[in-house]
Amino acid sequence: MEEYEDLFLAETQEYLQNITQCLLALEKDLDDEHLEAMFRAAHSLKGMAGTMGYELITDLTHEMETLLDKLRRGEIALETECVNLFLEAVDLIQLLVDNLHRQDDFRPQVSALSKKLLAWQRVAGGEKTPGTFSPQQEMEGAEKEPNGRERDIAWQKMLSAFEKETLKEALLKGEETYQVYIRLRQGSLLKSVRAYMVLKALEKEGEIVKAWPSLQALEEESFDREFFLLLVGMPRVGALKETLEGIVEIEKVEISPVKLDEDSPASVESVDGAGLEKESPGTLPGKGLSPPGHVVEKTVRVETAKLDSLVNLVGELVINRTRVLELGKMARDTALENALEQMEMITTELQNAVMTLRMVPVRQVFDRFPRMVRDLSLEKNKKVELIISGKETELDRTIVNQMGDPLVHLLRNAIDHGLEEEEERIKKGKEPLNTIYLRAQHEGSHVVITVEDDGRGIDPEAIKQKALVKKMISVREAEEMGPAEVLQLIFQSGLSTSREVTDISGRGVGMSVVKTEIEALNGTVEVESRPGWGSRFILRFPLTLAIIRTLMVQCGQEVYAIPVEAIQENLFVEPKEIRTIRQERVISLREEVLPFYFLQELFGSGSSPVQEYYPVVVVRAGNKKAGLAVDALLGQQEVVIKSLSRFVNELRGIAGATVLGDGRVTLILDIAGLLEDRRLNLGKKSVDH
Amino acid sequence: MKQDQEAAAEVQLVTFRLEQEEFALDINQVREVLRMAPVTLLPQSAHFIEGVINLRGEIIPVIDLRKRFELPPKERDEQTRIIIVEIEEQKVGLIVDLVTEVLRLPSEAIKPPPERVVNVQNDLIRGIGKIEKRLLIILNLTKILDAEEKIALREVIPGVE
Amino acid sequence: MGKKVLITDDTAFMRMTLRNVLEKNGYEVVAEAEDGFQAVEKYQELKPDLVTMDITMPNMDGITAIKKIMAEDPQAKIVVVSAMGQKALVIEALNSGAKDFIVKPFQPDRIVEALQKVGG
Repeated sequence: MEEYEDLFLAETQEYLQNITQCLLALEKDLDDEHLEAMFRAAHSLKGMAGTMGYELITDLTHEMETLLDKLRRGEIALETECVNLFLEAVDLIQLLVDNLHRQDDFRPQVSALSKKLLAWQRVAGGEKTPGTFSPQQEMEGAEKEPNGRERDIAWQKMLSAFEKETLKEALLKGEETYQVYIRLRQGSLLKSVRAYMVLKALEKEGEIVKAWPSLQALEEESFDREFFLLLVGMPRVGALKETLEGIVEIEKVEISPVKLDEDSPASVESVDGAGLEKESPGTLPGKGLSPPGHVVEKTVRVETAKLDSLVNLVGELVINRTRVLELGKMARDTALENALEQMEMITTELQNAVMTLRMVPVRQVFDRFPRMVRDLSLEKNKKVELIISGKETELDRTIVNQMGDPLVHLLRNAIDHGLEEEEERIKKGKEPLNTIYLRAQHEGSHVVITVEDDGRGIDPEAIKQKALVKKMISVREAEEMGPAEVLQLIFQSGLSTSREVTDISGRGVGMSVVKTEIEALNGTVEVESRPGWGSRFILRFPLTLAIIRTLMVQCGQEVYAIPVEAIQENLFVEPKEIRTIRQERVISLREEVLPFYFLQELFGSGSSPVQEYYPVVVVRAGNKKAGLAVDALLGQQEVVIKSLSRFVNELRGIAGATVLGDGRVTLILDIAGLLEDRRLNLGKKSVDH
Repeated sequence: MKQDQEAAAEVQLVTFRLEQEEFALDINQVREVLRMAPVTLLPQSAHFIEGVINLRGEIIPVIDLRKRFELPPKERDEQTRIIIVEIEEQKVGLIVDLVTEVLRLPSEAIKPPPERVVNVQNDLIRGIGKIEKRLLIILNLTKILDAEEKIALREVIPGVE
Repeated sequence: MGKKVLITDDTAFMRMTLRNVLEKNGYEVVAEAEDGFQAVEKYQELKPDLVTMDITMPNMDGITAIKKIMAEDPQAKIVVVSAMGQKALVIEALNSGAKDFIVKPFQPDRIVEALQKVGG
């Protein structure tokens, strides 16, 4: 069977992704097509799991299928709670799939979830009580006392990178990790408040890193009567156990130390970013992201180490090539020289190709956000729409893999603190629905990622006061700081702007961590805000290894590359179509009047020869547009952007450079910079020459 | 330790020529010497920056030292060289007329630059080396790239009129 | 001698039910209060070992009463007896110093167990 495992894994991923997408679509609008597709996916999954002998996955998918069938037949309505349940099932299946060889670790979760799915099926049969399961119903039948082994949760598989980081820090401080198991008495009422009491007691003794079911589920009472918590700290175990047992209606308390495996140094990452921890059990402070429900590409998985060694080898090859070329020239053999020239071109392309292996689209990270935002917005009861753009923007794999955590944090922050309740918005005359925009785009020599919300914004005055209270700034400094400057204070450690403690944001990992993580990737982060109208976080990551599609243009002796994303269209313009308005040249394009420049003049390298037609590239950046006349259009090409040396990188209008197949260096234009610049000045400079 | 002592005793220099003068760079700052290569112009950069070249996939700015020192331009020829130096972990190429040799010079043969030169051009010159009748102007690289600093060579070279 | 309990509830029926259950299980009900004011007064006067506290009551609600009693005697042992669906209020009561809570309608053994746990 083992040889089918890979296939099983890949297909499961597709089905799970499929189910998630269907669910999110169905939640918005219940239509038969998605219901049908989801049913089929669950059914196929069950079949596959059955064949492979994965009993737990089979059980779960069976319950899903049965419930879906009832939905399909209209016997029950699809409520949010039910969607949550399905999503929970998807997550659990993902966990099982990620841990194929340790599926038994998840047995308690599977049985609990199956029970819940079953309860919903009964709703269809005329029984009431949908979400809040009546205790009699959940616990009918003989009480099963799970054995210790069954009760151990495979925590390390469930931890997010952020949680792992928290754990790692705690362990470094010499703290310990405990699993706390709680069982309530049968028929307990207001279970969420019981859970609350437990959490409160635990928080006095340490930090709760994770809960199963989730804290959200605990709060919503969507659990039967058992739950597990992962506590880190230096708790007085005996006293804690006594306190917990002293809480009314708590039937059973178990506190046991948990050993989470250390990170194995040779952690395996895959090209498509999918988590695979099959070989190395447990990666505690792992760097890679392995979010549930990621997209599976039709790709081969390669160890990162192999990839890096390939990059290094190619680098060496290129260095060696230069020597061989020198020797070839000395031999004065034309045939040899030709062959070497050929080799030079191939090795350059090889080098570029190897570089692209390191590039992945940000989609890999972005795709998990719709689900996360949905869950959070339900939890916070704030309606929000997440609008994502630029998913296909490519960045170096390392950056993509590591920018997930800061983005999660920013999104959570936006939901927790930025978004407003419907009433509040209507009062302000805003659209009732909150909107969060997540965008990625190339901008000059960077990839810019923005997280923007149209919520209540950040009040600089409140931050200033807080910073004063915390003595982070002096009174004088406070007086001198402008609002924009004050806003950046939120990135300093020790300044938390909200008192509310939520699942992640607020748990000691504040904006300062976000900043540190971004800076570790050579990125920068800034915040802008209009109090009352929203905030925008702007992350910039370097493009050192980024690849972009460009249009090559000839301009005098030089060739320039213009990023295709900044190009609206190409045209040919006759000299007589160029008019002068207020000493500026313009052309008309349909209804619009566009500023018109000769690229050569902008760069002060003389004026273009008079031609019958000028090839013109219409470029745009933001709301600015212009026509750039060049000598010739040479065609599109994908190029690897390299940054210019910092001794010269202040150049306006140049994003970077790239090495073409023939070894020549070509400059890549930064259209935004070019159009933003005082264009008249540029023009004059060329006149002065 | 041993290296330190050696360094104290003598300095290894790469010497090159611009116009009629002979200059020298500490060999520790020199990465390699190339023949003149095709240079891509950099628009709007400082006037002495010739452009950028491709050095095994790395993009490196190149400075025309003649322009830097406000010397008259000279036709590039077979002898023109680009000296690749490393300043603050960045590689930079310097275009020079001719690379003459690599030599060792006892430390005591290096004299501090004359007072008036120091006043005019802070740290541009590290010292003046003397071998028999030759006078070597040992450059301090960091200042060369500072576009704010105007360096007219005739002001700094002792004995040049 | 059983522990001294003060019962607080605005309905006579609930006070009676509680009294019966508690007395049957060896507790001494020293007083009954019909609202928060009375509860605070009786507490000062009688210093009971345990207090049961309803949340929604006229004149002074249970949460205010808990706060006042706790301010007076930080050692006070108060158990909230709440109706269903008062999650937020129960949490507030706990944060105000109540030791624990039970939910109406309760089964007799549950309330006894709760008081045992809280009373030690």
